[in-house]
Amino acid sequence: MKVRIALLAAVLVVLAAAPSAWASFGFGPGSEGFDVAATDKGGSPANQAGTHPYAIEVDIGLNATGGFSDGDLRDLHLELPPGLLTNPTAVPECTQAQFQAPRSSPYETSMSGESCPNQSQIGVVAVHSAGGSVRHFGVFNLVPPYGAPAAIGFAPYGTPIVLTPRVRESDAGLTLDLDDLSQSFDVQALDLTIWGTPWVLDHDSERGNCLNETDPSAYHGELSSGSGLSFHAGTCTVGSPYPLSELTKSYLTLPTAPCGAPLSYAVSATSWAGEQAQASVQGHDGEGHPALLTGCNKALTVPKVQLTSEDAAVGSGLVFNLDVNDGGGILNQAGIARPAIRNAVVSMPQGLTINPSVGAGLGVCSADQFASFSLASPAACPNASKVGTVEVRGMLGLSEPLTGSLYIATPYANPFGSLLALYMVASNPRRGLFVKSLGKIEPDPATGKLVATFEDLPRLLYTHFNLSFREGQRAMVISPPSCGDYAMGVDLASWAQPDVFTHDSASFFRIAHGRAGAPCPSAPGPFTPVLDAGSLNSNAGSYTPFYLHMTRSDADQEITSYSATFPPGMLGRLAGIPYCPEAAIAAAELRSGAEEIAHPSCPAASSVGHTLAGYGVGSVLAYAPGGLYLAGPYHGAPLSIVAIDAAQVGPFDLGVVVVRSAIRINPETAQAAIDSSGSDPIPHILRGIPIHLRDIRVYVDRPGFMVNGTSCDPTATLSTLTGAGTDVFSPADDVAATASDRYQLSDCAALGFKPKLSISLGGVTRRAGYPSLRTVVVPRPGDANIASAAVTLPPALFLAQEHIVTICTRRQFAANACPAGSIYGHVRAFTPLLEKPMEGPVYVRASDHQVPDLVFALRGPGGLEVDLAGRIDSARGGIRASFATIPDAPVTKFVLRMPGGKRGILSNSANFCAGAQFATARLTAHNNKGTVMHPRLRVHCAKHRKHGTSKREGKE
Amino acid sequence: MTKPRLVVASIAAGVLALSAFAQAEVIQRGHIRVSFEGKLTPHVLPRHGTAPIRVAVGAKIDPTDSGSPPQLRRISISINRNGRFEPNGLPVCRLNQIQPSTTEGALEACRGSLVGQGQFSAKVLLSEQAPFPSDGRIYAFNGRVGGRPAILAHVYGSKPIPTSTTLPFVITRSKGTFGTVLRASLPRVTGKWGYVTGLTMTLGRSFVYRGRRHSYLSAGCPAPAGFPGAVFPLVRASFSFDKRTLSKTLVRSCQARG
Repeated sequence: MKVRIALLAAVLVVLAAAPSAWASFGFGPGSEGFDVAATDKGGSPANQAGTHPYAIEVDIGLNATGGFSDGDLRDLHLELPPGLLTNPTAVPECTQAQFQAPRSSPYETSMSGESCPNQSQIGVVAVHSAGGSVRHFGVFNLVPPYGAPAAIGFAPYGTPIVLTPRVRESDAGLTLDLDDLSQSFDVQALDLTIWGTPWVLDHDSERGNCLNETDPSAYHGELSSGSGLSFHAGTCTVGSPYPLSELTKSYLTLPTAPCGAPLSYAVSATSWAGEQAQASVQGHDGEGHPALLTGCNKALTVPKVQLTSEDAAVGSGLVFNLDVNDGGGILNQAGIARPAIRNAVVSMPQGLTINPSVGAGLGVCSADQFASFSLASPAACPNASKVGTVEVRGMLGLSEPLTGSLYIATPYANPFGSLLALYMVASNPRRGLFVKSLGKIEPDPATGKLVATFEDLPRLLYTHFNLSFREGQRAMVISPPSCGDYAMGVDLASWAQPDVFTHDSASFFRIAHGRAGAPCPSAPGPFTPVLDAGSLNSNAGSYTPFYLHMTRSDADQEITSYSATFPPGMLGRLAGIPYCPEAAIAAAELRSGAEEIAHPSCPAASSVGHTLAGYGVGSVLAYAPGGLYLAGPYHGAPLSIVAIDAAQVGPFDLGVVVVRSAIRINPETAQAAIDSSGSDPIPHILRGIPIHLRDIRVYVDRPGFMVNGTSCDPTATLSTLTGAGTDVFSPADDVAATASDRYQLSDCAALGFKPKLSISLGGVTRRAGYPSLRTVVVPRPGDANIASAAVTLPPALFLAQEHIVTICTRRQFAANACPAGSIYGHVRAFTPLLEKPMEGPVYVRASDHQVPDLVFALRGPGGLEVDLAGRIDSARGGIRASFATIPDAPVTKFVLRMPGGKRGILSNSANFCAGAQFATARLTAHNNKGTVMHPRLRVHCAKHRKHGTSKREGKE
Repeated sequence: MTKPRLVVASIAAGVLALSAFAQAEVIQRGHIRVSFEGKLTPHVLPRHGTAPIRVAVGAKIDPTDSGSPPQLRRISISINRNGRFEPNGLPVCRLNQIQPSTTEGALEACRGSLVGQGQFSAKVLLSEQAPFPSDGRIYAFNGRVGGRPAILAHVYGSKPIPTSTTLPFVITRSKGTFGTVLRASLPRVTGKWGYVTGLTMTLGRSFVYRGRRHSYLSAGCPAPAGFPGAVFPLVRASFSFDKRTLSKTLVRSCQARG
């Protein structure tokens, strides 16, 4: 047992002694473990923002000791503060071959495994090995591996060590990565010195073979005492690359921000055993006080916004440029870098608007796709969403630009939650650089004036930034409509002061001429819209789809409203078609276009056709489909047609456009017309995007809905369109233009015309009585419609003037305020166009004729009105009623009843039961066929039926 | 010739001269002007007893301004007591025989009762409508209304529309200068908005009844002995409008025979 206790004690003693020999992996305490200092030539802290320090010294001390391989350094990551730049173009690069070839020095045997040219040296490193030996080696600017912007290398004792800069995505700072350090390399500390301007002569004694390799105990460039060999500092000079020292490029550039704060550095390391260690330090002076960054300057960036076209009102490319520091501040030894621009707000002039066609065929880039963009995944956004290019030049002083694309972000599902958002990505895979930024374009909802905001532009300093929106028909913007110079306002805020904006108004573009070099357009422009309308089936009396196509040219004024009068006889069969509910119409305006497309607001049963609206400028328009529905009374009109268009062009969902047109029926001709005064105006701008409506196509194509008239006389579809004038937002200068399109049916002769007409008298049919009158007209199905009718009663029937007590004045009639006393009968007209017959009173109404007219006031659903005015006169001694204008509308039955007795306006001068009485009826059809009938008046005689009518004749 | 006779003769000659050139008498009240005229034929009548005559009366109603006159509601024509109506022996025409009917129809039904002819004119003025004339010929038939003798003045016009109207003039006896009065209430022949613009009627017919010749109207010239004729109030006409009645007496003369 004693032996066991003694052994255990011995083990514990050994274990207790172990920390001194097996120190845990990590950095040494305090500045021994990690320290960084940016210094000027005198060794004082370099803290002037944007300048090029004399040197940056990085001291790294590790706890790991040699002899224990699993505790040795494997990876090291040195995080430089954001904005601290290395410029690999400041000096030539050392090739891999040179870096791998051991140095051969004329002075002594070199222990450096490289033979890089002196001009590629950018510093020195002191390698502290186990046992306390220290040896200096040159640090070189290497040809970077693919995917890295630069490489810093040294080869102590033949072991190549490469630090590769990497741009951190979080803050665009550089991290120098040292990966997979050879396990055989025994190092306890590294004192890395990077020269701010390697070309400086002061470094000559530390370059290449002049680095004091013959006497490791001596410092750089000093003569070794007691040695037979000697050298001069000028031996390893590299001279100046340029005649003027001001143009000498610097390798290091201090950050431009944060002012008043010390720069922060961090380091992390991993051992081959997987242990990890971190350390951080802030810049400080020799006494440990923080070295605060001072002398921060404002951004020195010249913005420039240009259109690629000088033509008015055309799709144009848009170029946005930022020229930073004139390129000099970053690189030149004497220059001072200015901060990069973080946010830019571009206020575009009035008239420069979003092109509504831009969305056609356009894809979108989702937020996830944008987020996943990286060098490894450079094509995260679909190509269809590309609307321009991005180019960043001069980043890290590199001559190769970062190139990329400008993508449309998914509307609303983007960081701005806006309709028009942009994702900007640019990369240089060779150099391992990529940048991502955001932008949005906000159109003024009322005027369309654009404000573009770009946020988080590249932080890593560059010399030129360029955004180019594509040109052509699908260009992002449309140039202003008139010639002149247009100034841009650009507000810029730097990464150093993100909340402080400086305004620049020097940028402008010029519109020099009209489209394709034409003279400058006048204001207001012409307004000569073109109308094309007609039915697909031109056979008279047939059901047919009907179309209405209105177009205007780019030069024409915007269309703000339209009215159209359809050809006579062109009517719609409303029977069986429910109106789209008012609530559904109201709700439609609040929906998205996608919702409307997926689930139309109006029921399908109400659909009577569809629409297609073409928006944009140039030869290629963007078309948005819509539905056409039957709706109820609107603005005093008996019915309406509502066009519900999903304003969705490509990815842009501008909601739903509801344009409701009042349909009025001419009460005399039954001609249907779209009345602009009672209709919704055509929207000019949606969500701030002027839609430039150029093409309106209306297809009324519900099967069995539209029916042709039966007249083959040439007629026309008449339309009046309103142009917006100079000011599209003011109706005061609107101008109207009429357009007419010939319309003529065919095959009218094939239609027959053989209506039946019966007239019967009731009540007191003997002499001096006041009989009632009933007239029934039954056209034959498929016949031409009745155009006019004149019925002459037998001379034995007189007008009972004494019973015409009250007549309706025309004014009263127009106001639908005829007195009840002016009603002398009732009419009903059955038509296949309506579910229920039209019916209404028979008025005696004042007229331009000698005798007041007899007016059949037919009324239908929703206040539908058709008035048949009959002139009353005499012919061959009999009272004649002539209806010269009967609408070209199908009627299956017409019934007129006029009471007898005290209200009767006819009186008998003969006993109608005593003998047959005949009327004369002359009816003409709209196809110009006619017929003359002499119907015998049917009389209901109580005892002498034979004088009246037969049973068959008595039926209607 | 004594002085008084000379004076009377002079006056009589002057009156005769006036009556020979008698023109329409004009009555004007407010904005209504009625031109009334009457004529008795023959001019020479027996000093004692009666002879068949014809009496023509006529009236023309005009507005004095651009407006329309009020509607004529009633007409009263009083004939001098020396004139006599003798409808006995004439067939009596009933109103429903001629109303409504055309002129031909009325004549066909009551030709035997015809006692006169004339013209009727009216204008129909409707609100918002140009006034249009409604003219027709009058055929007067011997009839009875309410058991009293009457003249049924049938009016028929075919333009602009066929209309038929019958104005019943009721004949009554009266004392005083005018022994016979014809009164007619005009129906609203032109409706609410029409107005009569003119009316003429000539009455008189000879007929044979029970073998003797009769005259529907007969009169004498009651001139004093020694006077060649007489001047007398022939007709007094009254026209009643909505709110006003205009009256005028026509003085005519006759030459005595025998």
